[in-house]
Amino acid sequence: MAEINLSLIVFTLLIGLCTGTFIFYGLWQFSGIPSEETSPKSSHRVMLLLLIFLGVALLASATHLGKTFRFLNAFRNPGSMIAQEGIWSIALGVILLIAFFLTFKGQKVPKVLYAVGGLVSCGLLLVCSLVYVRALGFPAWSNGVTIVYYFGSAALLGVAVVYALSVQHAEKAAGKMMASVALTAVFVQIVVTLAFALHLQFGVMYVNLPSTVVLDILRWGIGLLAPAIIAYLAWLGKIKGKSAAWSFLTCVIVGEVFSRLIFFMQGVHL
Amino acid sequence: MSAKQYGMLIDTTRCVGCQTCVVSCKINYQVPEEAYWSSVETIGSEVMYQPTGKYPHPVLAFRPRLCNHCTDPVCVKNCPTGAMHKDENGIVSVSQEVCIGCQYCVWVCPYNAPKLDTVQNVMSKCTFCQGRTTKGEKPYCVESCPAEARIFGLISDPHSEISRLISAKHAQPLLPHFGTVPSVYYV
Amino acid sequence: MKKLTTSKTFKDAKITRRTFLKGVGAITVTGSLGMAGVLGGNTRQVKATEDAPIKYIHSCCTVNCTSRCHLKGHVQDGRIVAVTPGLLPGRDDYPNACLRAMSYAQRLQDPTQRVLYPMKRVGERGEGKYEQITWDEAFDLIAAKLTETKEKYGSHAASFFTMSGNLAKLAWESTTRLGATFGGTTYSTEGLMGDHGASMGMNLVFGQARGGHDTRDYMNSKLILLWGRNVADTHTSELRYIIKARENGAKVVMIDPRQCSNAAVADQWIPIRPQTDPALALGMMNYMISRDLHDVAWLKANSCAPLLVRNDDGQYLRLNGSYAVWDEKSKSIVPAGTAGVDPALSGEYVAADGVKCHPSFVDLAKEASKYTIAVTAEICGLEEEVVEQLAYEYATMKPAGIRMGQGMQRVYNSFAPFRTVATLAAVAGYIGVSGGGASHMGGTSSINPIPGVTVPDFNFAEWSNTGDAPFIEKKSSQLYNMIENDEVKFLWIAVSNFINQSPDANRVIQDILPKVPFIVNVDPFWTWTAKYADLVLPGKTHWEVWDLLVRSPWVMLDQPAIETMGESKSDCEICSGVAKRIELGHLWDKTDEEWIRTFMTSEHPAFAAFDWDKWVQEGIFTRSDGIFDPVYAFKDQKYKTLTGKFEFYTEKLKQFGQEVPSYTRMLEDPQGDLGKKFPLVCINYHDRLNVHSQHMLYPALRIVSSEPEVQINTVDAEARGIAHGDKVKVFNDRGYCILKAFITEGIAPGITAIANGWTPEQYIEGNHQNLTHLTINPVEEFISQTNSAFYDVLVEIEKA
Repeated sequence: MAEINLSLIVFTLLIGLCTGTFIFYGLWQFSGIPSEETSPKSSHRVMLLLLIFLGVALLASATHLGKTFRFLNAFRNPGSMIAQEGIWSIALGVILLIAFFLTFKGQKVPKVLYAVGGLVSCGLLLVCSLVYVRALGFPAWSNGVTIVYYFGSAALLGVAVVYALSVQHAEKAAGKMMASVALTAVFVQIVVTLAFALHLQFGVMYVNLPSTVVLDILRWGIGLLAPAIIAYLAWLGKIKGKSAAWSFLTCVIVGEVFSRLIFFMQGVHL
Repeated sequence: MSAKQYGMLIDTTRCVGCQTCVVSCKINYQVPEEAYWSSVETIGSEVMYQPTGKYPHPVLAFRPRLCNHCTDPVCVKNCPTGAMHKDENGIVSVSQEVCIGCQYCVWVCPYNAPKLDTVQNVMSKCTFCQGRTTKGEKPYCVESCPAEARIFGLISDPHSEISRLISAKHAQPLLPHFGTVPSVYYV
Repeated sequence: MKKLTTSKTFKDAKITRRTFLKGVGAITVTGSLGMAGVLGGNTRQVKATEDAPIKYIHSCCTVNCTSRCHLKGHVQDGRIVAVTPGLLPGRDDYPNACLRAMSYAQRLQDPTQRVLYPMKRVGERGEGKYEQITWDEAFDLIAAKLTETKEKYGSHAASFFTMSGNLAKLAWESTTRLGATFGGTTYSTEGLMGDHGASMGMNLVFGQARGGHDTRDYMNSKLILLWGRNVADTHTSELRYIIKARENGAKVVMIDPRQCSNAAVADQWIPIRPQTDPALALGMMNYMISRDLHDVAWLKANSCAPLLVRNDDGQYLRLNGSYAVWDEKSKSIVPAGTAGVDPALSGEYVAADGVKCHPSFVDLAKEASKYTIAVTAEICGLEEEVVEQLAYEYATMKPAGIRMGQGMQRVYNSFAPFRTVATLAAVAGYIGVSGGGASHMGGTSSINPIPGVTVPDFNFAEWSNTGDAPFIEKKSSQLYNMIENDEVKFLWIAVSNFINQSPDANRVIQDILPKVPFIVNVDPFWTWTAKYADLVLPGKTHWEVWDLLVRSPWVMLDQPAIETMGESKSDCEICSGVAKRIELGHLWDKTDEEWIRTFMTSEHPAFAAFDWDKWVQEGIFTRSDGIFDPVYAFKDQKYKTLTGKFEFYTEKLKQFGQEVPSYTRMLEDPQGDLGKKFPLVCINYHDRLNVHSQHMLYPALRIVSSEPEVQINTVDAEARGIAHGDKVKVFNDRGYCILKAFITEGIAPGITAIANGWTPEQYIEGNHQNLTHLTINPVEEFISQTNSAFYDVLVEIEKA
C-alpha cells in the first residue's frame, strides 16, 4: 500500500515553501536587489506568511498523530528525527516571530537573523529529509537522494515565491536576473527529479513500486517544463514579468504537489 | 546489547501457509479490527497463495513474518517518545500510554512489524508473548503451529536448543543488511 | 443416580451472572450497530476487564475434520478469550488447535451470528422472516406436527436427518435417537455428503470402512504418497508427522489436481485430473506387474490373487464351500489355505466338473494392462516421465506409504479410487507392513474403525435403548427421491447445514424442500438451511454443553465454558423437550450431564481410575489400556472380507463389469458432448479456512480468505479474457454462481476449484452447490448407496 497521507503532503509542501522562501528571501535581501524602500514592507508580509505556513504545517503534522494531544511526548527522545523536526520547526518559528515582531515595529530585519534563520531552515530541511532517509521500511525513500530531493524542492519553491515578490514590488531591473535564477532553480530540480527517477529505476528495492506515468507526465509538464519555458521567455523578455512570475509560482506549486503525490505513492513497505 | 536476548527460529520448509500462527496471535491478543501482529507471505509472490513458476512445476512456499525483536532496533532508536523500548529480555515492546501514534516506527522497521491499534490510535505489536514465556509457556504462534515450524528460546545463550539449531541448520535472519541484528532466524 | 456436583470451574455464580447481564447489554448494542459494532464492542469489553482472572476450561473440537482436538479454553469474565491446544496425556508431541478451532470460539460468542431463541417462520421459506416464540410453544408445535404426521401417514413419514456438524456423542446422536424412539425415518448420511465412496472402496478390499497407519509410522517409509489427502488442511493434527518423516528422508509426493497447502511441504506435486486416480493406480500396477516388481509372495499369502475364478460366470470357484487355488507343486486345484501349497497367479485350469477357471490376479493384471504409461499419462493429464517415475519409485522405494483422501472419491463410481489405490498397495505388498499401507484416516485410532455412533466399553446401554418403535434407517442418497415421492411429511434437520453440504441446491430449494410440509432445523447459527425451515431452534456449540467425544485412547469432555447464548439448548435437551410431549419422556429423562455421567460408569477395567471431578478439571480421560506407540492396520493380515483376504476381486460386482478395480470416465466428461458446452471441471475442495460451512467468514480468518474465489489456470483464464480478481460467472445447466477469479499456476489446466462451505450471502451471487448434481449410481446403490459426485461437475466460466 502506498503511503498517501494528505497531512504529510501538506506538511512537506509547506515546510518546503517556508524554508525555501526564508532562505531565498534572505539571499534576496543580501543581493541588494530590493530597494531600501520595499524591503521592510515586504518583510512584514513575508514573515507573517511564513509563520502561517509553518503553523499550518505543524498543525497538519500534529493531526496525523494517533494521539494529537500527546504531541509533547514527541520530544522525549530528542535524538529521533521526529523530535528533531519539532525542535528545528520551533527554532524556525522563534526566528520568524522575532523577525515578524521587528517588522511589526517598523524595524529592519538584521542580516544576522536572516543568516541564522537560513541555517535553521537548512537544518529543518535536513532533518525532515532524514525522516525519510531513515525509513528503512520504504526502500524508495530510504536513500540519500531524498535529501537532495527535499532541498531541490524547497529551493524551487523559495525561488518561485521570491520571484513573485520581486515583480510584486515592480523591480523591473531585477526581473531578468530573477528569471535567470528561476530558470537555474528549475534546472537544478530537473536534475534532482531525474536523479530520484534513476534511484527508483535502478535502486535495489525488494518491492514492486507502482507505476505513476500519468502523474509523472503532469509533474514534468506542469512542474518542470512549463516553469522552465516561462522563466526562459521572461528572461528573453517575451512575457511580462508579473504574469511570468505568478504563473511560474503556480506551476511550481502544482508541480511540487504532484511530485509529493508521486513520492508518497512510492511509499511501498517491504 | 541487552545481555539476554530471546529469539525465534522458523523453518520455512515446514510451513504450509495455513496462518494458524497469525490467527492465534490475532484472536488470543484480541488485536482489534484489521490489525494483525504477524503475517505469512508467499515467497516470491505478490499475491498470497499464488505460486511462482509455471505449470506443471510451480513452486509454492511460505514465510511467516513477525517482529524480529532486533538487538539494535531502529524502531526504538527512532521512536520520538521512547514508548518503543527494549527490555531486559531483549523483547521490543511499546508503552501504549506514552505512544503518540505517529507510526514512524512502521516506516523505519524493515519488517513492517509495529501495527496501529485503530481502536486506541496508538501502536501495538508482537510481544514475543512475554506474559506466557515468563511463565515457561511457548508463544502462541509457536504453540499453535501444526507443523512445529517454530522454536523459541534464548539466542543469547550459545548452549540453548535454539542457538544450537540455528547453527546446525545454518539459519539466517531476514534482511540482515539493514544492520538491526534481528533475533528471528529462518531456515 | 448420584447427586450431581457442580463443576469446579463454575462455582462462582456471581461472576457468571454478571457476565450474562453484560452479554445481554452487548446484544442490544449490536442490534443497532451490526456486525462491525459487535466486534469492536467485544474488544473494548475484554480490554476493560483485562485484570479479571483467567480460568481454563477444556473442550474437544467436535467439527468433522477427523482430528478431534483437545482444546484449552482461556475463560475470562465469562468469555472465551483464547484457545490453545489441550494436553494429550501420553503424547506430548500431539496437542493441536488449529486456526478454525480458535476462531470458532470467537464466533460462537457473537450474538449476531447465533440463533438465540426459538424462531417461527412468518415470511416465505428462504425469506428469512421469523418471529420469536417460547420453548413451550416450539415443543408443542413440534409435538402436534409429529402426532399429526403419525396419525395421517404413520410415524415413518417423519424424517430425522443429520450430517456431521457436531461429532460429540449427544449432539451427533440425539436427533437420530429421537427419530428411533418415535419410529421415524433416520438416514445413513455419508452418501449424500460425499464421504461414502471411501467407505465403499475400503469395505470392498479390506472389509472395513476405515483403517490405516498412525502417521508416525511414516518414519519407516521411504516414500509417502498423499493421494487426494491435503493433510495440512484437512487432518491438521497429523501434519507434523508427515513433515518429520520427510525430514527423516522420505520423499513426499502430493497427488492432487490443486497445488494444495500440503504441496508446499512435498517434494513433488502431481497435478492429476479429477476422477482419474484409478487410472493412475492401474498404470502403476501395470508397470510393476509387467516388470516383475510386484510382491508375488505377499499376493499369494494375503490377497485373493491366487483364488480361482470361474471363466463362465466370474464367480469364485468353490471346493466344498471353500475357495480354491491351483497348486503348482501338486499341479492340482486344492482348497485355499491348504498347507504347503504354492498357488499360481497365472494360467488357466480346468476344475473337476470341467469348468475352466483362472486365478483372480489374471483379471487384475489384464485390467491393469490397458494402462500403459502412455495411456495413463494421457488420461491423467500428466507427463509420461512423471507417471513412470512415480511407478518406479513406488515399487522400489520400499516401503512406501499411501495416505488416501476423500478428495479422490467425490466422483461418479466413487468406490473405485480407494479400492484401486489400495489394490496398488497390495500389488506392491505394502499392506499390513510398517511404513506402507493405503490408509484412510490414520490418527491414533488407526487400527480401529473410527469411533462413532457405537463405541464399545462405555455404558451406552440406556442410551441405546430406543424403546419398541421400529428402527428405520434409509440411504441419504434416496432422500431427494423419497421427498419427491411424498414420503416425507416432517423433516427435522440437525447438526447439518443440509443445503450447503448437499448437491444441486437449486433442485433442493425449488423442487425438494417445497414438498415437505414442515421442517425443523436445530443449529447454533443462521445457516442457509435455517432460512428454509419453518421452525429454527437455537442449538448449542461444544463450548456450551455437557458432551463426550472418544478419540481412543482418550475420552474427552465438553462442558459449559460460557453462559448460554440467548435461550439456546443442546440437541439432547431439545429432543428431550419434544419427547416429553409425545409420550417418550421415559426414554429421555436425563439431563445432558446425567447422560454423560452414566456413559462413564463402565465396568471395563480401562475405566477403573476414572474420576469425574478430575475429568471435569482436565477435560480428558486416558484409558489405562491405551496404546501410545504408532500402530498400523492389517499387521495380522486378517481381513473382514468374504474371502478373508485382501479382496480386489469382488464377485458380486461381476454383473456390473466391476469385478476388479477399474477406471471409468467422468459422468460429466470434458471430452464428451457436454464438454463442448461446459469444458471445465469444477471441484469444491476443503480449504485451510474451513472444515465445512461452520468456519466461513470469521473476522479473524479474513486474512486467510475473505470471499469465495474460483481457482483457474492461467491458460484457461487467458483464453476467456479473465484477469486475476475479475468478477466471473461459473455456470452450467443446473445453475451458476458469481465470484472472483483466482488465477494460479497451481491447478491443472481444464480444472477449476471453489472451496467448499461458502454460503450465498458470501458470494456475489449464487453458490457452488447450484452447479453440483445428485445422480443415482446403480453400482453404488448395489454396493451400498450413491455418493454425491461433487467433483464430477462440468462448468463454463465467463467474465461477469
